[in-house]
Amino acid sequence: MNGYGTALAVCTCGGTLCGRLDVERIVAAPGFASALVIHDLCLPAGSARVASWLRETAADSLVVAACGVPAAVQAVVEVSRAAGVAEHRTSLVDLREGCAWVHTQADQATAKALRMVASAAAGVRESTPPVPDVEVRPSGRVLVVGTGPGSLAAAARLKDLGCEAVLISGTLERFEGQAGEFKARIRTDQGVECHAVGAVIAAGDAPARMPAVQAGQRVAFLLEGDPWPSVTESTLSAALHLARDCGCRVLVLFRDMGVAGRGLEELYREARGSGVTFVRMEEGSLRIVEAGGEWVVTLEVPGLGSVTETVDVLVSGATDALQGTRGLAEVLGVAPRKGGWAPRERALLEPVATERNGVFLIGSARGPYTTDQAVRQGEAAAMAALSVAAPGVIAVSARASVDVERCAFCLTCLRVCPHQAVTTALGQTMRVLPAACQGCGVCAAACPAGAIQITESPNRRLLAEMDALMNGPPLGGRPTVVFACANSAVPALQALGRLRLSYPAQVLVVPVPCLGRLEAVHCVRPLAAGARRVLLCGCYDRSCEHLVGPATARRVVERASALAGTLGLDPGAIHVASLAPVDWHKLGQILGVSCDDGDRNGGEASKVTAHATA
Amino acid sequence: MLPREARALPGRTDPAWAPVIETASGERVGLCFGCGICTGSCPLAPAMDMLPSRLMKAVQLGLKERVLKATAPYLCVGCETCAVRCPNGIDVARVMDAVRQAGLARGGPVPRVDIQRFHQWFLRTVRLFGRAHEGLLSAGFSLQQGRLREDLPTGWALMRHGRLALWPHFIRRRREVRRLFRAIGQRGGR
Amino acid sequence: MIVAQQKPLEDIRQMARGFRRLLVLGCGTCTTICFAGGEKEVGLLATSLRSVLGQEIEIEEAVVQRQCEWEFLDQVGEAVGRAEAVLSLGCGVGVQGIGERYPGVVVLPGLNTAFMGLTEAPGIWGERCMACGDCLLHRTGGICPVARCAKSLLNGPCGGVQDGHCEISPENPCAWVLIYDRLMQQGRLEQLEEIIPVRDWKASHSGGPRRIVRPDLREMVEEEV
Repeated sequence: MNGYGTALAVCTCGGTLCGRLDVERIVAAPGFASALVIHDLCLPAGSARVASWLRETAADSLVVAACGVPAAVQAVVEVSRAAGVAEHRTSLVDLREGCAWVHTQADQATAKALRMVASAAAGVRESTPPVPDVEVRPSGRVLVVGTGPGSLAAAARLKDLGCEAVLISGTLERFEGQAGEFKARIRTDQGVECHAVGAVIAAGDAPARMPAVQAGQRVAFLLEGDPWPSVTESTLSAALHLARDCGCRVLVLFRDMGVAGRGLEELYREARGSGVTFVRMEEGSLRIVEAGGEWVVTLEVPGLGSVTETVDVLVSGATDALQGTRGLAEVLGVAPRKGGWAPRERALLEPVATERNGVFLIGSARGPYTTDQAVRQGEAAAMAALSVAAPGVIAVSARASVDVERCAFCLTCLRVCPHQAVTTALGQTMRVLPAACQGCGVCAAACPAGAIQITESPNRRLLAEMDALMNGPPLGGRPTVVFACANSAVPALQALGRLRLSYPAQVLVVPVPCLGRLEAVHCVRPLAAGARRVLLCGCYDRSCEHLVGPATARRVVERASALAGTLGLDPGAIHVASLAPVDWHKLGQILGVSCDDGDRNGGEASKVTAHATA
Repeated sequence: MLPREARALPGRTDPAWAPVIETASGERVGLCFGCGICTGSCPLAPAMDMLPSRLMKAVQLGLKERVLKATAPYLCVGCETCAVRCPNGIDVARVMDAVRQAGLARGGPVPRVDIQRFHQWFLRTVRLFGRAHEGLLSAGFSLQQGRLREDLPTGWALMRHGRLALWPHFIRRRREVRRLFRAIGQRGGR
Repeated sequence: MIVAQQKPLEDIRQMARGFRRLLVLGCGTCTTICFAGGEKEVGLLATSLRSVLGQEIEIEEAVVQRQCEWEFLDQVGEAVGRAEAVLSLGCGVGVQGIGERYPGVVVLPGLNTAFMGLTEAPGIWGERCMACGDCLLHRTGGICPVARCAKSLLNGPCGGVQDGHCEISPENPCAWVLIYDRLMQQGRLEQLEEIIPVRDWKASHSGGPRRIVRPDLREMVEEEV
């Protein structure tokens, strides 16, 4: 062998892979110092055999080609420890769910397997050791912002769980640090307080203060903002009271009525029965003019044309509350939605958490929740905060790191990081906060100097893996390179594998933590190496854990397509597709169509787009 | 579609009007949340200018001018399918009736004079004979509307099939019927 | 890089009189490199001011990486809050950056920002660029007549060349002599036969203060709507 120092171990999964792949050819793959075939990696005897063999070869890196189940992953870790090979110098290639079980033609599948193995070897040779663990020492204190029912419930539950709740009623001015070690600066009537806390649970402002309304006056409630839902419990109660008990004419203009909560449906009905008039507003249908102390409200009502009503008091209380939340979100480093509530994405998947580790939003900071919903959220947030704030020591290794030699202090990484994980201080270099970093790679893609990298997969590793993948035995057609997001496309691919649904062997998968990791050059490179198509498969906009993945992907595809055009490559060959992690069916369709032969102008290319955007 | 004159009317709301209709109809108009089931059930809806559910919203908002200019309440035949289906238990037909009454009380021409006349001919024959008499009703209505020539062949065909009696059926206590009409008239009805 | 020089101590003293609390703020990039406003210069200047202004003034010192970035200026927010005036040892950009970020505080320029230039030798910096916004260095052998000719002539020297030096600033070589020599050395003298036409100076400062917007970079940080 050539003595690159990389060893290859191939597991035939009890011999079952032999029927679908030419194992002998794979074992004989070029570029490895030594190679071994076994049948039982996941059993103690098998992994022990690999470990002793590896020790003998004195290789400094290892590629294991087997299946992808957790037992195999664990086996590789054990082998590396037993043989004294650094864990970051090992790589597991899933030849089973990722190749043998999904490709029907053995010669094509073998060709792909050879490429996958070569890619892993190239990658492992460019690997960098992980950043040493940093100890984070939470003190057991959790900041609770707000004094409403949600906050109080959170504080009470925290106490039960052995944490200390720091309840504040001032304004949060500054908030920095990472989960486990935050520093908060609060302005109260008495001055400024600074607190060191492990997490923060923030509820929004109390329901908007009502302007004084006299009996018999005409009142309009104006509830704009994000159209889900815009009518709050407090608005319904206020409207009912004014109409029923104060003889007021009450008009409620709303975007969306959501009464999914205990007692809300009855409250809504009672309000209607008492003469409160509810009118739904379409976007842009409203005009308000102040005239001589009165408000003239003009509204387009479907089917009835233009309607004008004059009122004495205009309450845009919900909007005011939203402004307060937007300010709070900004201080906490959490991106708000268009209507002002936060967090922006995954609002329904993550009931209390946000994109910033250790920051929890509940109650009216999050949406027009009722009192008992806010209480439940408060309790949930207390329990979630426990994992980052409970007293003790947590060892964390940062998933990204800065090469200070290359860093020009342009601050781009700090500005684009969706998780507030990059920081700097007076006299300090740019630093990644290990408890905040979620390893998405958006910083690495944005850095103009290539100074900040994902430790597990620095750019030169990604490129080396891609190049090796593109360079190998024929696959029976031009390859389609699929960049697969770890949160959506990768699970979908695994599902296809486990269900043994087939797709063409020309599909070559490059997993990435998030589509935000990608730059234009990553998309064009495979095309230049002969790929038929490049697909970026990731989450939907609203589901991206890192907020910016899909938007980045669209921007990158535009840039890459233009670049491809100037290089004489097909500018229409790069696409983005969105899917949910459970949607293996959609992914299968996309993959199948993407490898279709036939005319590309409008024919197959548009089919891919149609599938991709469906 | 609302007639052009109705749409052109200023859409200024009169919040005091909704309670008037509520009192007159005995229905809590505010309970309506605009689901549209009444419109979906109404057999006359395709012919109406203002759909029943829209009319309910218009009443809630107090769009008195537009509602009183609509022909929809005159097309309502009172089948009450809407009332059966309304999830809030509102009898929309009674609201339609109240709107008609409000229009009549206001005076002036109503949106469907022909329908009003038809009703009046019907009541005329009841007052005269104690029972409705299609013969006088159709002949009188037809003459008043100036459509005798078009209606004559239909009338003749109906008579030949025994569907249109020339002679009315007099009941015995006609005087009591007239007293009924007088009493209603005294209470302001028309 | 931007090259600047400290103002005479007497001028700085005049500017700083009347303030009771002063923050001397240095800059860690250009003005450090040209030894005008880095950490050491901040320390020296603060000491000098303390000795000439005596008891009347309390002086605090700090240095940020760059004064032209909001995030770096934010790092000294508390120190600025304590001061009545900030004496900036950054270039004119930095002085204005402080003013924009902290409009409530008086900001004083401790340096005269001189030019954009390079280090000819340790301790010697020369102007090379005037940011005219429409670079023509490919036509002049890589030597800029806009910045290095006192009259910014574009088509050869004026008649006042004396012994290869500029008649306006005799210590400077004539830029066009330099250009000629360079092109001669490269064997490209025929380049001089191409007439550089009359310029539209709108791209330079004559057209007003300039601004660059990069939509592709704005996309990276813009909030999704």
